[in-house]
Amino acid sequence: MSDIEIAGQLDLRGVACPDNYVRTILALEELEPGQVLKVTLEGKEAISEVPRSVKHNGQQILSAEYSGDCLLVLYIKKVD
Amino acid sequence: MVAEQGQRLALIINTASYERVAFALGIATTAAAMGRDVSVLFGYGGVIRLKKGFTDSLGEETDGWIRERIGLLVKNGGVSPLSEYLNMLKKLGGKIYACPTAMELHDIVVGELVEEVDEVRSVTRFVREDIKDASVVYV
Repeated sequence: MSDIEIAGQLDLRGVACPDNYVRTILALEELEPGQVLKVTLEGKEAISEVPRSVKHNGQQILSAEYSGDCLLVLYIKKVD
Repeated sequence: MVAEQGQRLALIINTASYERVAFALGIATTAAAMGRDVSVLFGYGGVIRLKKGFTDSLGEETDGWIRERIGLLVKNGGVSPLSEYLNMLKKLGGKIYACPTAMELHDIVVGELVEEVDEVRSVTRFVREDIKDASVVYV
């Protein structure tokens, strides 16, 4: 996903639920619609729940890059 | 953001124990992030957490068996400090209230409340305006 222009990024490794989800939403609120946020998540719970909850918020996940079963990099496009 | 229209959440925090307040505020911020209208009233046991300088305190109000563990979790960044939860809740549109009777119990005056507090709100008004049509969480 190196060709995607990123407007912001968040490293949430080591950040537990629900802070990982809440901080993702707060970061998205700082972006304009159409901009992309890169988020790095760690842990099975984060990998399972954050993408699901972000989609529940109506945001678009452009890409999800998994590294083993503990690390996930999400590219989230802000939807108005 | 897709808002869950008509779904309100009212929390009553009646404890100062760190892990309980943190967990409740975690629920509050999550619900607010999901688009719900969230109101939080701090009562007898919890209002002390709204006092400037005490919000993030980790002392005898928190049981010893969990005090060290929650302190490490906050220190390592796994969990936010309570002051940060209050700040995030405000950014997400949540409302934070201090019960006046509870404040009196602790000799807290309005000027001593953290800036995230929206207003001093009585239980009567909270029940009338915030609990109405809301899911209620009591801690």
